[in-house]
Amino acid sequence: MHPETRHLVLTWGLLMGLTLALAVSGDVVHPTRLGAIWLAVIGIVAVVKARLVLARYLRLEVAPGFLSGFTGALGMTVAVIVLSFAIIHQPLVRRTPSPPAAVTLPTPGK
Amino acid sequence: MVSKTSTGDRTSVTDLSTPPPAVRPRGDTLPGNPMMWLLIAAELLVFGAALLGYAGARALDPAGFAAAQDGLDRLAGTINTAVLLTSGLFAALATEARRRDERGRTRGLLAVAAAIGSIFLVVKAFEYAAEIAAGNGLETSTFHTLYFLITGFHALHVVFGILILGIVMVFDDLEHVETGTAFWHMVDLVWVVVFPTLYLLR
Repeated sequence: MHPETRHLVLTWGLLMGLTLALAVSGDVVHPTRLGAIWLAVIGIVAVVKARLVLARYLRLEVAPGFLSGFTGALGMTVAVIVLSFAIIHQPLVRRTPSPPAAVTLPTPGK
Repeated sequence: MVSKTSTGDRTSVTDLSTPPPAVRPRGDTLPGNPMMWLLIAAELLVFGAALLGYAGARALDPAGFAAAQDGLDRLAGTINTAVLLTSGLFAALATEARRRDERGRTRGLLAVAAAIGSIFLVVKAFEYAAEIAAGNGLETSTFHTLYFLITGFHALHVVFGILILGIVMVFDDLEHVETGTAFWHMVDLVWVVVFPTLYLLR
């Protein structure tokens, strides 16, 4: 295999692994609310994936200044979004059964 | 013509008849067409602003957003992430093949990238169909308005990207292939940030 091809395939493998990590940390199969740590993990993994796409697929690894600039801008955007979710946290919305209908007991003497 | 320079105990000999090789300091040159990079930066700004707007709207109605977001198919979103990144691999391999002047292989790899990119649109169509069947449309809630606008705008870029990959299959100069695949990677890049923001953060 050509070295550059191997380099790209390895990058793809890494991206697939990070996508799996994102799916696990984001608990894609359950409608659970995530804690602040998991929110941070999702944000970090997303930025690492973005950096890999920029560096290897878009070949910005040959221009480290631009790579840092693009990664920094994306990282700041993701950080603001993650922070807003961590600060304004919404507990899980559960469907609760409707309360039982009030039972009126007969009043003695009436 | 030879110039001899001595610095301390070091002596260097320089042949002045040949010009020095152009040394570009690292960090100052972008690979490929600069106009494409301008487009990539502009697209990232647009999607970044949209996602920040999404976070702002969610801050005003966290309960409504949480309830609406739980209706999304997160597994489909994950599959689509893998689909786009795999398509991106084939696009990157096509560029490498073109640099080695393997034109037939380049066209084949570009075709595979476009075909895998089409799978993204099929999965997205199923997602939209499920949302619409559940009674959710563009005006159902603020969440759904932003969800359909952001993912729809991105899907439109996927459509354009597939068309561009088709065009550079025909006009396969190295610069065209580099520029076309750079657009396709930009579509990857945007989804890498859109997916966790809309589907996972909660």
